[in-house]
Amino acid sequence: MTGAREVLELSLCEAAEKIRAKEVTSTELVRAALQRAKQAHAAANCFIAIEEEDALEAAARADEAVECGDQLGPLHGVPLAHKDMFYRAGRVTTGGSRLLSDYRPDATATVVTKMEAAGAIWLGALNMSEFAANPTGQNESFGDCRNAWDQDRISGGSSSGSGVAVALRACFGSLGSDTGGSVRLPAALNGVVGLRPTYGRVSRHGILPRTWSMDTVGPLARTARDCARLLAVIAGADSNDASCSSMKVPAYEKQLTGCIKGLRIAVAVNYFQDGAAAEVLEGMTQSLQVLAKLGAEIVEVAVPDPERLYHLGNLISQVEAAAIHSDLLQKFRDEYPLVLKTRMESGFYLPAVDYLAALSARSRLASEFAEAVFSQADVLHVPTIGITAPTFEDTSPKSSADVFPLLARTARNTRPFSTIGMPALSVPAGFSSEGLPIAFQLVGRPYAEGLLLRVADAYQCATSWHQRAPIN
Amino acid sequence: MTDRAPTAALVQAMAVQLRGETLSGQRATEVAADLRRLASHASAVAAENDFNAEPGQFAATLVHLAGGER
Repeated sequence: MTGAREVLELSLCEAAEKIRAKEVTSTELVRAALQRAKQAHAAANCFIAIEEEDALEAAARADEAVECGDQLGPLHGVPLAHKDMFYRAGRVTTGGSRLLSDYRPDATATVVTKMEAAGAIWLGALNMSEFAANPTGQNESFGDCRNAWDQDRISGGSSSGSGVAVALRACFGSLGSDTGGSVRLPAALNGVVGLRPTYGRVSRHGILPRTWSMDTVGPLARTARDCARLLAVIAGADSNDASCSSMKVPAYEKQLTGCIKGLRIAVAVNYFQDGAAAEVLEGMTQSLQVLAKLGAEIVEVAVPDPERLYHLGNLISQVEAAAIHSDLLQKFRDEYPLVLKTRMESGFYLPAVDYLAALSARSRLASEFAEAVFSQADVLHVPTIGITAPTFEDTSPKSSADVFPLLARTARNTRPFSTIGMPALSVPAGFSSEGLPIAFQLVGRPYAEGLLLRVADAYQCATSWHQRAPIN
Repeated sequence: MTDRAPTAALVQAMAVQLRGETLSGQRATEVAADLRRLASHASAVAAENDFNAEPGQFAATLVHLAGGER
């Protein structure tokens, strides 16, 4: 390989293959990524910590393993990063809040252990919304993470740094968490692929909680194939997380056949396009045309009451966040970010029977959704978000009264699927006239991540949106 | 259930008695309005929930719904 810029344009899977083939060393990749990470951080504030020394030491060990002919994992030697809410025993995990600046958990997240066993090299911890609670990605503790394509605009969140760092080629992939859209929104607004897996597909052990009943861990990368590789590493049963399913983990990459002929792709006739910008709608139309050319059949469906799903997800989230933050909030009320404080406040006063009614309804609502949508189609196609990245000025709440309208603008198309635990994948689908990314979201049956990735991979093989970089 | 209407005064009283916190009148009004919204959504689904519905069914439902991938 030649220059650092060239190696950073490789996909995650390509980088891993080149390390394996001894065409590039992990040390070369990590050095290039570290240099880019520093530039990206200076421009967009996407890291909370860059761990240069540790990364270089790990890369040297990875190179030694290649030279020794050791068995290599699927991520061997590849520089990656994670949202700063994945615990590593004894190391500070801030959760994006200065209130946790000395918090050193005893446990290590299962997904961190799995990634390390697969050979991942950690470049550092990525910026995020404080306590994973703001879909704009803004952060009063560590400063706002800025959009990769326009630094006057929001990154989306809460996995803000996870989207921006990947878009800026500072790492080949990242881990985020998604409760109501926190992987999909930064993926969409920064032009990368982001997956919210089925609730229970990936262990949540050792991650900072946001809403126990809806939290998921998901990968972000430039391609669907890269996400498939990451998902295959992190998915699967975990005795430390009772909510984690023992369902077999498929060989996701093998499912990326490039063929979607005969698949039925549903377009929602209600809710999801309401209020969307004309350029976003045009992007949806064009992406559907591409998918139709690839042989998919486009059908129309009515999705059962997404607004109800949105509000029930909000209810569950408010109560669980109140429970999680109760003690800390009483001690540090004035230091809590406005958005989180406002979002959880009603949770302290809502009757428990209401919370349990919402939780109990999820099985029925998921079944109704599946019957209405997946009896007609294999996947659902909707905009991930109906707008392109707004400016900071447009999204900074001045008071608590501004918070819920802001949330509704950003997470209205992502949260309904979180409430019912369905997998959803955000895929780059073009750019606005201002050069800002547009994305569609594919939603599938529970545990149909492979199918979503297959559709997205076929789309990416036929388009080049994911190859555009926000840097020269 | 559907016409429950917690007032700002009730929210302020709960804040003091349950949390030891003082909420401004404006904030208590906002929380009361939010509680009314949340309660109406909860009441609507509660009315449709089967007697045997319970939160623990959710994971099993997702596995059940997983069938049919092409």
